[in-house]
Amino acid sequence: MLFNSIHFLLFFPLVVFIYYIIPQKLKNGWLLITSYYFYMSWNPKYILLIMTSTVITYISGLLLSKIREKSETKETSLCKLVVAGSFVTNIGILFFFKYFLFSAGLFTRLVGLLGIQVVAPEIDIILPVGISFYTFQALSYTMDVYRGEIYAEKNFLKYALFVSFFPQLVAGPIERSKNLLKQLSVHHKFSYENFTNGVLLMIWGYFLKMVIADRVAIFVDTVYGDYETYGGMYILVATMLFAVQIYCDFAGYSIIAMGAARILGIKLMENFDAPYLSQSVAEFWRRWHISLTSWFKDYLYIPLGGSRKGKVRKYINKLIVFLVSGLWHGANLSFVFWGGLNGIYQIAEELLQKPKNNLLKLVKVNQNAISYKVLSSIITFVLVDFSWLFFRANGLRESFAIIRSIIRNYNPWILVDGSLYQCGLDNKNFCLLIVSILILLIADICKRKGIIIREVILKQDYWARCLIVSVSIVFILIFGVYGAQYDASSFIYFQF
Amino acid sequence: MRVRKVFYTLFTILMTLLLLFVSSKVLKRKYSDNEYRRFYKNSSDYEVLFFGPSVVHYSISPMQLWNDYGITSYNMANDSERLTMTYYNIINSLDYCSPKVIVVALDSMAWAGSKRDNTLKDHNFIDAVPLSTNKIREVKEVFEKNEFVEYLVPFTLYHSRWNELSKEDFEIDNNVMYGIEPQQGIFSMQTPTDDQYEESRFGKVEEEAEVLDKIIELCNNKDIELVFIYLPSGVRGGDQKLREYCSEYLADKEVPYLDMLYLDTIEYNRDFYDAGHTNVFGSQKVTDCIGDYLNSNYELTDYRENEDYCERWGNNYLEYKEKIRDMMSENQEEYDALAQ
Repeated sequence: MLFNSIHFLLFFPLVVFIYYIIPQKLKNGWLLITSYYFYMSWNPKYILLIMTSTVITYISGLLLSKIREKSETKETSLCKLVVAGSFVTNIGILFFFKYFLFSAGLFTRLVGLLGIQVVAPEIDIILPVGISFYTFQALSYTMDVYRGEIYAEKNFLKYALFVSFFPQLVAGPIERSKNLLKQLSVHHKFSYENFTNGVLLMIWGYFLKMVIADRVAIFVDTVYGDYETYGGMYILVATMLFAVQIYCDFAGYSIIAMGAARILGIKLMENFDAPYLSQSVAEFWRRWHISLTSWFKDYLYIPLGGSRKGKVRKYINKLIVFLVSGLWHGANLSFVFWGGLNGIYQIAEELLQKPKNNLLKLVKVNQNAISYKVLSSIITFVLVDFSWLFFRANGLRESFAIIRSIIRNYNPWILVDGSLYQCGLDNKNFCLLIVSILILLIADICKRKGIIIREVILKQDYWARCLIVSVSIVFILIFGVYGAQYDASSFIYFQF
Repeated sequence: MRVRKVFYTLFTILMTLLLLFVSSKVLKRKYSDNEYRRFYKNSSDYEVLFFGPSVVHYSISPMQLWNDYGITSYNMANDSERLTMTYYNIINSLDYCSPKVIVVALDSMAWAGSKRDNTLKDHNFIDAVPLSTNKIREVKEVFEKNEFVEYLVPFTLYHSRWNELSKEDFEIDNNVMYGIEPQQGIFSMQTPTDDQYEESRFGKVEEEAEVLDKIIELCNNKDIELVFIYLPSGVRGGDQKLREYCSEYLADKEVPYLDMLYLDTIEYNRDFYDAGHTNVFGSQKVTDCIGDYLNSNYELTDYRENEDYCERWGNNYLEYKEKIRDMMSENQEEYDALAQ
C-alpha cells in the first residue's frame, strides 16, 4: 500500500478514527493489526519474515536482560552470543533475500576468472518491501539492550508494534527503541495540535513526492532509459534533476510518515535536514537519511573503533561504513561504488582541510561570507550529484557508459532551443517544476535559519490556516503526478 | 474551544471539497457533457433512444427525426462501444428515461472478443453518466479493476489537463445535436460485397448472443419495444455470416431486426467520410430510413403538435439545421459531382 494510493487514503483515516475511539489498552493492538495489514497488502507471505525478525529480537532482548540480572556484569560471553545469534539470523534473512543472487553471481564471475566454471543458482527471489529498514530497526533494539541503554521490552505486542509501526515500516525513518518504544507506552489522547501538525507534514510530504519527485521522474526516466540518444547536456540536466527527485521522493516519504505518526500522537525522528545546502560532503551526510547514517555511526563506525584508533583507522572505518551503506542501498556494485565514492569524498575533505584553510587565508577569502557559503554548497552538490549518477544507473557498466555519453556529446544548445521539452515534460510542466523546486529551496533555507514554515502557518488566524490547507490539498491533487496516465510511482527507497 | 476546532476542521474539509468541485468542473474533458448533457437534463422528453458504436453516433440524427416525423429521440451511441457496454449504457439511461422504443445497432458484434482500443472513447460516454449504483455496476463489469477509480472519479484522469485548458473549458456549450456527431468529407468506395468475411471473427459472436438476450430481457421487463439494426458500412460489408446469424437468432426471439447494409438510397461512392462511417449526407439517408421504419411500425407521438415541445425542439432544430447546412455546403460541389 503506497502512501500515494487511494487504498492508503481510505485506510489511514479509518485507522485514526478507530484508534481514538477505542480504549487505551487496545490502541497498540489496533496499530499492530493495521501495521501488519499495511505490510501484507504487498505480499501476505512476507509477514512471516517480519514476525520472525520480531520474535528473534524480542527473545534476544529478554535473554540479555535475564543474563544480566544473574551475572550483574554488562558484557558476558553469553550476552555476546545472544547478540551474535540475533545479528546472524536477522542479517542471514536479509542476506538471503537481498544479496544471495548478487553474491552468487559475483562468486561465479570471480571463480570464472580463475578458469573454474560454476553455474549460478537460478531461483526467483522477490525482495520483501522494507526488509532493510525493519531489520536494522530490530537489530538496533538488540544492541541497545545489550549496551544497557534501554530495558528489554516485556510486552510482546508493544515490541512487535515497534518493529512494524506502519508509517515508517517500509522506508523509515529507522527508529530507535529509545524514541519509539518509549512513546508506545504513553497514553495517547487525541490532540488537535498533533493533528494539525501531522496534516501539514503530510501535505508537505505529498507535495514533495507527487508534485516534484514524480514529475522529475518522467524526465529522468526518459533520458536515463535511452542515454545513448540523450547524451551530453541531457544527461547532465537529468542527473541534476535526479538529485532533486531522490531527495523529494525519500524525504517526501519520511515526512508523510512523520505526519501520519504525529496524527497518531507519535513523534518520529527527522530524517532530512536541508541536505543540499550543506557546505561539505561530511555535512551532507549528517543531514541526509539521518536515521541510517546515525545507525551506521552507532552500530558500525563506533564498534569498529571510530576515530579513537588513529587517523588511518578512522579513514578505513569511514570507508567501510560507506561501502556497507552502499551495499545496504542495493545488491549491485554500482551502489558499492556510490558508497565508496562518498567515503572517499569525506576522507579527501579531511585531508585537504588544512591546505584549503591555508590557501583561503593566503588569498584572504572570508569563509563566513554568503558568497563563499553558496560556492561551497554548489561544489558539494556537484560532488554528491556526480555520485548519484552511479546510484541511478543500472549497474556499474552502464554508469561508465553514461559518463562516456556525457563527454562525447557536445550539445549545450539544448538548454535554450526547447529540446528539453521533448523528454516527457512540456514547457508548462517544466515551469511548474522549477517553481516547485524554488518553493522547496525557500523552505530549506528557512529551515536552516530556524524558521519552520509549518509553525508559521499554525500561528495564523483560523481562516488563513483553513485556506492554506485547502488550497495546498487541491494544488497537490491538480498538479501532482498520479492517476491513469501514470503508474502509481513507487517510492525509490522501497527497493532497499 | 473544542467546538471551534471541530468547526475549523469541518470548514477546511468543506472548502477543500468546494475547491475540488470547481476545479474538477473546469479540468474535466467537456466532450461527454456536451454530447449527453441535454439527455440527462430533459430525460423525460425522449420516446426513442439509439444505442451502439460510432456508426450510430455519426449517422442517426434526432433533430431530423423531430423535424420530419415529430419523433423525440436521443442518440446515446458512443465510438467503439462494445455490446456489453451498450447493455449497461441502456440500464444507466433507463434510470433517467422511459422510452417507448430502443434501437440497438449490432455492428459492434463484428469486434466480438477483441480488446477495447481506446480508454478515452469509453470516457466519452461514461463521464456524463451521473454517479449511481448502476454506473458503479457498469464500471465493475466492463472495465479492468485498476480502472475503477479513473471511471468513477474522472478527476484522477483529468487533473493533468491543467496545461491544456482553453476558453472552451470555461464555457457551457449549447450542443443541439442530441447525441449525433455528423462527419464532414467524402470517401469514395465500391459497394461492399459479401465475400469479404473473415472466418476467424465469427466464433466469438455466438458468445455475444448472451448479451443480446440480456438486452431483450431488459426491454421486455420494462415493457419497451426493441429494434436491432445493422447500419451501412464499407469495412464490414462482408460480414454476411454475422448478419445472417443475427437475423436468424433475432427471428427466433421474435425481435425486429432492420438490416440497412444495402440500403437502396445509400451510395457508397459519396455517402461516407471514411470506409466505415457515413458522412453528413449519408447520415440523412440513414436517419430517413430509420424514421420511416419507426413511424410505420410504432405508435409514437407526433410532438410537433405540442406547443411546449415545438418551442424547445423547434428552436434547437433551427440551430441544428444551420450547422448541418454549413457542413454540407463545404462538400456540396464534390458530392454533386459524384452523383451516378
